[in-house]
Amino acid sequence: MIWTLAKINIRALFAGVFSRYGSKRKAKKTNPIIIILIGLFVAYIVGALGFTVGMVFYQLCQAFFDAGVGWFYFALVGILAFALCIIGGIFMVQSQVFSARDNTLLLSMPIKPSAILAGRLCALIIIEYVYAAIIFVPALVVLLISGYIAYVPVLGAALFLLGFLFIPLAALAVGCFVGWLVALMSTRIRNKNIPTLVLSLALLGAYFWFYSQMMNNLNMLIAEGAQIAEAVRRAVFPAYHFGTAVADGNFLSFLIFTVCMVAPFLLMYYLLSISFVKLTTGGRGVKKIVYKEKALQVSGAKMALLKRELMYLWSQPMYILNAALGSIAALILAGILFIHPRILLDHLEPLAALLPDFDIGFAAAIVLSALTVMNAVSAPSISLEGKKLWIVKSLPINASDVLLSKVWMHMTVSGIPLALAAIASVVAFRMDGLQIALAFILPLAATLMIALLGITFGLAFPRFDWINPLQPVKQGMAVMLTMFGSMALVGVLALVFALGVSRTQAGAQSLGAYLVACTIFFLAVSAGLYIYVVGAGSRKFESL
Amino acid sequence: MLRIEKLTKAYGDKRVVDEVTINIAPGKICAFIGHNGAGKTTTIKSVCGIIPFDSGDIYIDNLSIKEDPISCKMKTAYIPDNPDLYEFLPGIKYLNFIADVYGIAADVRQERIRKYADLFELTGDLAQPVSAYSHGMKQKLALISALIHEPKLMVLDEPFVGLDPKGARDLKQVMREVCDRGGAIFFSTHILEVAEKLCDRVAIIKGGKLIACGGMEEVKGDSSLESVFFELEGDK
Repeated sequence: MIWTLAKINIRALFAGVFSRYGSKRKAKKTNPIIIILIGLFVAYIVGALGFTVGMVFYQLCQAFFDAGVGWFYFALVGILAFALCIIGGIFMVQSQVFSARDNTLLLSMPIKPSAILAGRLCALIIIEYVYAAIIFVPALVVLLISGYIAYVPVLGAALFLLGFLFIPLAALAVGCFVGWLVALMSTRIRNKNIPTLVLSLALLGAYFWFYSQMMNNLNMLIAEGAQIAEAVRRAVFPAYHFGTAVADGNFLSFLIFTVCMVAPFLLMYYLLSISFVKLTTGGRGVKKIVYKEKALQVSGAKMALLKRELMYLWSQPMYILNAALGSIAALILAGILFIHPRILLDHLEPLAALLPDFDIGFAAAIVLSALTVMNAVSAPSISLEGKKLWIVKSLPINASDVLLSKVWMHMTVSGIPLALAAIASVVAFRMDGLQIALAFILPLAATLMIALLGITFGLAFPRFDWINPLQPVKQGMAVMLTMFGSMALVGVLALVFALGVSRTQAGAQSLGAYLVACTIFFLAVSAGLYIYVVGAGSRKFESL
Repeated sequence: MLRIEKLTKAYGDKRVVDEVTINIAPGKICAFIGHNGAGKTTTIKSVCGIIPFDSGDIYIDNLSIKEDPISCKMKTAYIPDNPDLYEFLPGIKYLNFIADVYGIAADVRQERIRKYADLFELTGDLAQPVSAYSHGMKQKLALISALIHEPKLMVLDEPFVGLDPKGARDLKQVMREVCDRGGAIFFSTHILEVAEKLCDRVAIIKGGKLIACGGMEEVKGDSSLESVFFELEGDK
C-alpha cells in the first residue's frame, strides 16, 4: 500500500515536467525533439551545478587534506548536503504533506494515516536525494580527480556512500517539523499565507546573505580550515562523526552519525502519524468574517481579468517567490540605491578598476535586464487556471484578452520594481540621455519578451490536473523553458558582445549601440510572439 | 432561444455527440437526460462555447456560437456540475469580477447581488473566501453569478446536486422567473421526477445520439418519464 501511494505521489511530482494534458484528451506523446531538448537542458543544469560545486570543493579538498584535517572535507560535504536538502525540501513538505488536495480522499479510504504519510515521505525523500546528490557527486568526483581518494580507506568510501542515504532523512525530519509548525499556525490564522510568506522571506534573506558572503567564507575556510574544523568537531558532532567515519574508516563514528540522522526521522514520522488527521483536516478555529454591504468597485472586463491574475498571484506567496524572484531582487536593489547607494558603489569600484571601459550607466541597464530574466510569472499562469478554466471560457471575453491579461500581470509584477530600480539608478549614478533611456527600455523590452515567451510555452505545455498549485510553478516545463531559455538568450547576447563586438575597432565603446540593438531585438521577438499569442495561440487556448 | 443543429463532436475516432438537434423556444425549460457518459456534458459545454465542436451549429437567440461566440455568451449563463470557483477570492469579489466582465452598472449589480444572495441565504457569507465555502454554498454562489447579468439562456449541468431542499426550491422558482421574462433553460439532470414536474420539454441522449426530443407530454404520454426513459434506453 505504501509503495502504491508513493508511486502515485512520485508520478504526480514528475508528471508536471513531462506530460501534456488537455481537457478530455488522451495524454499526448511527447515529441522526440522536446525529449532531446529536455535532455540537453538537464545536462546543462547538472553540468553547471556540478562544475560550480566542484570548483569550490576542489579548492577545499586540497586545503583540508594538506592541513591534515581531511575529515573536515567530508564533514563539510555532509553539512552542505543537509542544508541544501532543508532549503530545497522545506516548502515541498508543506505542500505535499499538509496541504495536498487528495488528503481528504485518501483519509476516507481504508488506509492508515501512517501509510498515507509514508507514501508522501517516500516521494519527498527522492527529491531530497536529488538535492543531496548535487553536493555529494561533485565532492566525490573532485576526490577522484585530485587523487586524494588514496587517503580514504575502502570502508570510509563505502560509509561516504551510506552517508548519502542517511543525511536526507534528517533534513526531511527538520523540513517536516517546520512544515508542521507552519500547518499548525495556518489552522489558527485567517490569512494562511502569512506563515509561509514570513518563512520564505527569512530563508530568502538567509540565502542572499550566504551567497553574498560566499567568497569571504570560502577564503576563510581555506585559510583557517584547521581552526574551523576544531570548532565543528566540538559544536556539530554528527558532522564530525561523519567526517571521521569516512576519513578514517571509523565504523563506531558512523554508527553515532547514523543514529543522529535516523532517530529524528523516526521520531518525526511517529509524531506526524498520530497527528496527521488533525493537521490535515484542521482550520475550523478561524473566526468568520461577516459581510457588510459597501459600494463595489467597477472595472472594465480587461482590468477585471488583470486584477484577477494579480489577486491570484498575491494569494500564493510561493508563486511569487518561485516565479518573481527578479522583482524581489529589483525592489531590494532599488531600496539600497535610494537609501545607501555607497554600499553598492564600494562593491563596484574594484570592478571598475579591473575593466577600463566599465560604464556604470550601461551596467545598470544590463543588471536590471539580468534581474528580469529571473522572472517567469506568466509561464505557469495558463496551467494554474486548473479546473477553473471553464470560468473564463464560458464568459463573454476573447481568449486573446485572457492571455494578454497574463502578459500584463507579468509586466506589472516585473515592470514596476524594475522601473523603481531604474529610477533609483538614475538618481544614484551619473548617466547621460542614452544610458537613462536604456536603463528603462532595455529591461522593460526584455520583460515583455519573457512575458510573451512564458505564455507561448504555457500554451505548448498546459497541465490542468495538478494536485497542488505549486506543481505548475516549480516543476512546470513552461516555467523551466521560459526561465532558462531567456537566461541562455541573454548569455548568448553577452557572449556575442564579449567575443565579437568588443573586439572590433569600435571595441567596448560600442556597448551603448549594442544595447540599443539588443533592445530592438527583444522588441522584434516580442512582436513575433505577440502575433502568435493573439492569433494561433488564442485559438489553441480556446481548444484546451 | 436555443437551436442546436446536427451537433457532432468526436474525441479521436469516437463520436461522443452525434448529430444532435434540439430546439428550445423562449419561455421553455428543457431537461436533458441520459446515462453517465452519454454526451450530456459535452453537448452542454459546446452550447456554452467552452469546447469547440466538429460539425453542425448552435444558435442562441438566432446568433451562431461559431460566428459570434462573444455575443452568444453575453446572453448565456452556465453552471457546471462541479462548481470549481476562484477559491482565492471572497464570494463578493468573485461576483464583482463576473459583473465587471458582463459590464453591469454598479447600482444594478449591487441590487441583483443583494436580491439573489438574500434568496439563497448567502449574504452573510459573501465576505468569506470561496475556499471556506461548502459544496452547496459554492453552488449557490455560482447560481448568483449566473443570474447577475439576467441571461436569456441558462445552461445548467446537474444544478440540483449539492443544494439543500430550500436551495433546490428557490432554484426552481428562479428558473421559472427566467422563463417568465422570455428566457429559456436547458439543464441536465438525473432526477427524473424533477424533470417531469418542472420541464416543458425533454431530450434523451444515448451513446451520443438523441433518442427522444419533444414536449414532455408528447415524449412520456401516459407513462412516467422514468419508465419511458428506461424503455428507450433499453434498460429493465
